[in-house]
Amino acid sequence: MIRFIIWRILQCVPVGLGISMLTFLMLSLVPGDPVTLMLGQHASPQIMNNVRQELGLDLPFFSRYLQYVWNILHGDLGRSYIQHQEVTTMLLDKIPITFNLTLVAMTFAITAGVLIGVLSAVKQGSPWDTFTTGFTLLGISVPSFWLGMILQLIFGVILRILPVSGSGGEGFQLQYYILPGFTLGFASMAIYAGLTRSGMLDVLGQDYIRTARAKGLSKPVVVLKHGLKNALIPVTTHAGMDFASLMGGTVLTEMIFSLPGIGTMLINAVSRRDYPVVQGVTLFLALVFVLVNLLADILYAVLDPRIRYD
Amino acid sequence: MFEGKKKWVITIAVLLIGTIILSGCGLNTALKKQEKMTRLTPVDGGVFRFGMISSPSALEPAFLEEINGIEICKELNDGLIRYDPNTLEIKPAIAESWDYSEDKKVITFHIRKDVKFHDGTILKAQDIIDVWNRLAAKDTLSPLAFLLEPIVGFAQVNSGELETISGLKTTDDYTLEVTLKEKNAVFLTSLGHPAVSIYKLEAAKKAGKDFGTPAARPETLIGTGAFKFVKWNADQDIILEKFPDYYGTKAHVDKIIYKIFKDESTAFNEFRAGNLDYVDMVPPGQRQSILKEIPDQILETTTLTTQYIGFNLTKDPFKDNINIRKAIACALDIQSIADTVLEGSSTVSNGPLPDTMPGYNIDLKAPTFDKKKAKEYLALAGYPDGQGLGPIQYAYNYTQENQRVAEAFQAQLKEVGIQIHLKNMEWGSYINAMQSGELQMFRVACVADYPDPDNLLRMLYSKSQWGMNNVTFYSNPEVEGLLTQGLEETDITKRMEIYKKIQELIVEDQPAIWTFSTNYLRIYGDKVHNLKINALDQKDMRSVWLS
Repeated sequence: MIRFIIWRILQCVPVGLGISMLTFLMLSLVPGDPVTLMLGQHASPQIMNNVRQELGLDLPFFSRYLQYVWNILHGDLGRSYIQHQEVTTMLLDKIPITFNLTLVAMTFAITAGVLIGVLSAVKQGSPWDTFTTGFTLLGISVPSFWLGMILQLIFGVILRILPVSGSGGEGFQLQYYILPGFTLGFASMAIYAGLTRSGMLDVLGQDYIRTARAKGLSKPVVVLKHGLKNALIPVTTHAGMDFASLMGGTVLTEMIFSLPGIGTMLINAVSRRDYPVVQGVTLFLALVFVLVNLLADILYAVLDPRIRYD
Repeated sequence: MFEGKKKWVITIAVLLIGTIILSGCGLNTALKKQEKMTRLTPVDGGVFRFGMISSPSALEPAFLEEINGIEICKELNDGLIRYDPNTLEIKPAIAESWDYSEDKKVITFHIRKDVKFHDGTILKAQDIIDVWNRLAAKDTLSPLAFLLEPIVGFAQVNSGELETISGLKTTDDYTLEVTLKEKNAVFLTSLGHPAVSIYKLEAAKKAGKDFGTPAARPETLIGTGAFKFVKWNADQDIILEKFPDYYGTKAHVDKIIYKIFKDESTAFNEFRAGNLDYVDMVPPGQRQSILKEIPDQILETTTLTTQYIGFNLTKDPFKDNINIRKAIACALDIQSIADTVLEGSSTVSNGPLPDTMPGYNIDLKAPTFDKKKAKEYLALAGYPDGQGLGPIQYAYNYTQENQRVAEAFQAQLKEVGIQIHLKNMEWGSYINAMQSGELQMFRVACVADYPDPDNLLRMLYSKSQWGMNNVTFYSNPEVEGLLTQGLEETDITKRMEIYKKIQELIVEDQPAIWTFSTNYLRIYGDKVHNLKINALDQKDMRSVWLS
């Protein structure tokens, strides 16, 4: 197992290099000049050239890439072209917000999804089952920007029981994350409900469940203790990857709810061709994916002792 | 079983109907709650919550290239002069008065003795020189350094040869002498731009690369304005508070919180929820409904912007062929596009200047919509009914609005036999393509830096700006001569006559079709009083008060 973990960690190095190369290459191919966007309509060609030199944009692609990798290895992701701040500082400021948002979304998605899944499996074929199947379909189909706007209108503008937008300043304030968390986690909730339902239906038909029932155990004990525990394995493995996907997919939700997380940072940077920020955020998100993938693999091995990697 | 299903159906129906009724009632209630303003005596105190769409890039005067940065910096730092919030006339600020030498090349500014920086120290004339030297310096790389270009010795500092501008000197602590290369009637007006406003240079130096960034602290961002810097929470908000020792008319509100949004609808929802006092932009497509819902909480301002369809005069079919340019001008019904596609959000232009600009010529005779004339011009151009005229490419930077306007142009031109291909482009590539002369016909929009006709006319129509701001590559020696005359003329009436003549000449040459000036709709809460927005789209936050 330890050998497996070390091997997987080592695998992250070429993946990271590959990602950095790809992002760097893609950004170099994207049309548009960051200096034009940065300096606006008044800059003379001389000033533009000076700025290009200052930022190293006049150097050949490989020189720039090698410099970039060298800086990364020294923990330097560069400075934003637009806001002139260290990208590392910017990332460290934004990560907690996106992390909190993802966590709230995951908590909601898993809790509600598993609950709906268990109930619809237990009441298979009932109107509840039909309703939840429709509801999960709706969950996957509803665009998040629409859902976000409707939630803002109902809970923020009309009922005024939850904040419309923002993060509430410093520290974690749950009320600011409820609507965005629900918006972000809604589609995932539908997936968890589906996974739990099919898992439960599969498990509830097993011999050991029948034996448990025959032993006279109560229905809740049979369902929750014997059934749910086993039905949760696919949910757990999906949760790992889902966390990374949600973390990288917060752009729209953060934009609608004016949450200053890495999604907002990324969209600002892309629209202004702020290369160091785009590269920094992309690299960070890719590393999150790699690490979460690794953790999910380890967790899977722990949850299911039959799985061995070495 | 049937009973169970029925219960479900009824429950869902009740929930849905309830939500719909609730949303309707709630919205009306929220908006009706906004009572009319009753108090007329200004009240001090309160926090003004300003809804700003998109974050400023920097609060560094040398890099103020976008409106949100300008909006905040003008509250933090004062310049030698300011613009009247209503008329845009020049008013004294840090300089209480100024005199011109006999040859009009030297301006002596008399600096107020009671101007304090936000750290309590007194501003002296040397502080102004230091800040301007930094703006002009080669290493600063400021795109706005050109504002100081008329001063003797600017070029040497801008090229890195020298560190101090020789045309700037102090005769005592409160007198600044500025020597200009030539007589220049525009220079004084340009000093109202926040890029040349005054802040504490020592503090900025301490901040180093963090100056004017979200990492700024009150000790490093020290200005001279009516409000002082408190905090910048990146992508969230920027907080300023009233500076009690301000030399001029003090602000009424204690604090301004600029809340930053990426999305107009979210900002408007925050306003509806009562969490904002002002919103800088209405959500797309909701202009008409908002005008109906809250007509007495709307401010509509026509800004100093010009939009036009530019013709590349170095490329066929526009090169040396004025008739094709006039044919296109006559084929387009700009007014109908403004009324329908733009929902009345723009004023139709009659020439190179917006009607809010001093020196605007109301009597210009630019070609108007007339299909018959369009066909006549087309024939004169050598393309009867469009025969022999290949498709013309029309490029624009992509926004939904620009796309819809371009489609309307395409449809109207087709009716007289002119085919155009639409090309939407990403901003950076679009600017580069225009400047390098690659494009045939394109959309141009330009915002004035200061309220003087020389600004837009020189930038967009002088040969000195070819490949930079003059992207039509227009040149007319008579216009060049008049631009120089206008720059040197100090009699305001004579000067404005010169600019009116320049506009006539440009319209006659038709290097472009002038389309619209944008009218912005701003929304303010019922507790907001005396909010003034000038044509430069700057809000006077000193005058605003909350009841």
